[in-house]
Amino acid sequence: MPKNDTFDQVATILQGYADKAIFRGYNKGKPSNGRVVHRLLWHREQVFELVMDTRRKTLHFPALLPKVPVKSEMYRAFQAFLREIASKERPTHRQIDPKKAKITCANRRGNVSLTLTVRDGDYEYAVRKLIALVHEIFRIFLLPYFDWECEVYDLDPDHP
Amino acid sequence: MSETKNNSNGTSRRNFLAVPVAAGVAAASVAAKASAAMSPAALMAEVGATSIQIPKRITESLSEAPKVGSFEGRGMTGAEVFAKLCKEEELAAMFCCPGNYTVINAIAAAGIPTYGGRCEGAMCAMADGFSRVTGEVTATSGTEGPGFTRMIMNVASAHAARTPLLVLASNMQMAWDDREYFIQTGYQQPTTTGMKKYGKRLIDPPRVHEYGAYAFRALKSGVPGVVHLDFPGEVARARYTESTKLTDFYTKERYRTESRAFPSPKDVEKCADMLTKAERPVIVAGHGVFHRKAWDVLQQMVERNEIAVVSSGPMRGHFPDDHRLSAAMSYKALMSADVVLFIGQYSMPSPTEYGFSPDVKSIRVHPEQEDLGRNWPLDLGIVSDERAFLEALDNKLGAKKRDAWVSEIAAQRAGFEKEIADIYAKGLTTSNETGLLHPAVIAKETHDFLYKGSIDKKQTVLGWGGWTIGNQTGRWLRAYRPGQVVNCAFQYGAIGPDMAMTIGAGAAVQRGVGPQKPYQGAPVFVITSDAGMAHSLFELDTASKYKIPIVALVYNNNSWGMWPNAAGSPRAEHMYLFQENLRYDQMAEGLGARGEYVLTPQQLRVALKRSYDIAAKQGISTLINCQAKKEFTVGVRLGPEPSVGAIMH
Repeated sequence: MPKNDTFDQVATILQGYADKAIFRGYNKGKPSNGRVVHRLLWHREQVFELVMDTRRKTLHFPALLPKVPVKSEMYRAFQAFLREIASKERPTHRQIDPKKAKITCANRRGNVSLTLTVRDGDYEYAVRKLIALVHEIFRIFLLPYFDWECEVYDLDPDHP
Repeated sequence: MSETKNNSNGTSRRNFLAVPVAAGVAAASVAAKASAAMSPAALMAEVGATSIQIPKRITESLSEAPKVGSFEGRGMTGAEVFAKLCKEEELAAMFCCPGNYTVINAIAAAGIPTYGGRCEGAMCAMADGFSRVTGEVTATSGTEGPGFTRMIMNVASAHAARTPLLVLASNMQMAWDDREYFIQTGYQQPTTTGMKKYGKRLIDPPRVHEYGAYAFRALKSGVPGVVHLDFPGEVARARYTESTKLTDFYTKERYRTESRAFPSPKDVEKCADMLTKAERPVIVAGHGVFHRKAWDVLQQMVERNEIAVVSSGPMRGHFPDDHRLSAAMSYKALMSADVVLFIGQYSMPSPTEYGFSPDVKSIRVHPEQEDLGRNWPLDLGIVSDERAFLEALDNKLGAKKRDAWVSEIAAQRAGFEKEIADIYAKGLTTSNETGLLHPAVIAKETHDFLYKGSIDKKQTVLGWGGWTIGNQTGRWLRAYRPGQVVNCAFQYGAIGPDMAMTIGAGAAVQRGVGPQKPYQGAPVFVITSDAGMAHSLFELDTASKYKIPIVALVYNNNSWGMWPNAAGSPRAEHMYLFQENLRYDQMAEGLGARGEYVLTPQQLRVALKRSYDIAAKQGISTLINCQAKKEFTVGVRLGPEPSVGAIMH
């Protein structure tokens, strides 16, 4: 598939999520050198950048969770959460097929990034799985970390 | 104000005041005379001032025969015309403080169950609570200015919960509008802007019945809501000896209809097709299912087609938590759903508030077209009454087995139970180490007492609220039948109405109204915070006065739950803190209820049993003061939505 079609395909899917109000805002980026940065207004009204890199075959959130120290309980729990996502005990429809995509995370100075590597060129599968995973991180993983959210996003706890 | 004329019972105000004087009661105007005639000790003995008791006159008053107004003889006042309409509309109960005298007296005389209490705000919450566990229309009332404005938080709370609540207030006269004459001047209707479905200041006395009809049409049609009528004296006190003096004086069969919106067959077919093709469908059954008493058809339909259900709204139980298809405790399974059908979901979340997959297909059924698509983009919107839709869908859907889906729900339910058990275990360790009660321990002990012991688990109505305690409690409470759990903080997030709201629910249980009928007379429970209790503690007098047995657990952590927001502001911290170890239990004793003060799980267990037994056998309420500390707030874990502990939608 030509690269531009792949970019368009992913952009169309992301626009579809914006149309379903999963994102409250979406800014389609312009591809350049096999790379595009989409901006998503998402959890707690924060803007998240999603970087699509067709040369590296990745979809990447460079700053998914800020201010999470490497040695914190929260980061350990996040890693465990991702391991559980990859577990075969998880229902099939919720699994990410390792032949099609691989999820990794990294923590650089407390800034947690999340990367999905596309293994078979199926970007539609990849972007849908990644958005579902991040949505699950926001809706489920973060439930016990309300105090953290209030602090890092500067939220009023009565109106997060 | 002059009110010397005889009322409908033929008793003048002067004669009414004179009777207790003759009996020796120390009425202010004759105190000197009475004390001159009797020694202080004799006077105290005569009035029984040394012990808390329910005066005989309360009991006598409650057993007075109803007397609905008529055009015969002296005719009816405007208030009596309205009260008669309320009676014909089967207004379930009114909760008030004195004020708006002509109207509340007429409503009481008409035979409508009435309750008088200590604060209009709390009484408004009681009316709301009664309605939340029955679905019935209730009323609240207070005087024009101060009483009415005291109601406001709870009017707004009822509005957020779409409670069919009739707010009545006033006794001012239009003749004195804008003049600040005497006291209590206020402008009511602008005050309730944004928190009512319909409101009107009645200014034309002959239209009192007509506007009563407007009120009940709004209360009993479509999506329920708050209706606010204010009654100036000219309207309430006008007198009518014949119906020709009243405009539009005809019956409810003509001024409103029981006809409901039925769904389009095409919509039902499309919905049935989407559900049939789905592998993992879920229904979010909101309070419209409760209000339309559609829980039976819902259960029948989902059992045949194996559709999961999670209930939402300010009351729970319209789908039982112990049903194999209940996803109320399987919040992680909801991410697997491929189709979600919202029905009766009046307070509509955004997709980022509910834990569904971004790829889920969405259907919503709502009685009003203009609300479809609000907040949550839809694949299919259907205009219909909730019950009519479920009946139509039930006729259309065939049988289907979804074993894998049912297994996934069960597995995630087990995961949830383990999750809260782990939180409890940590809380228990904390309790043992500190000698104080962690909120998870309070929640679990109450859970075990109500649902795992000798009491029928379907019996006890429970209201809950508060921040720290609410977050822990919500996930431990269960609803096994309609109207069993009251989510006091639903949507509006008010801190304070919990106990009053649950006393109102207790009044419904005491009378056996609607789904409370099988459990008539059973005690009710409430779990609330020390911050919240301050708003309604005095209503233990009301509960005691009307013998509504309530067991109130107060999480006493010596602070507002939001005290961590003082972090980094040392000069602000005092504003978040109370005196420590306050004895709410002793205050309860001073109000005619019992008090228990507990610090350990063992003490709590004993107190729960003792309090319940006394409530069930003697109708006496208890406040259990659960001593904790503010540091237990740390690490608040928000409840997932939708689920058992949801408060937002």
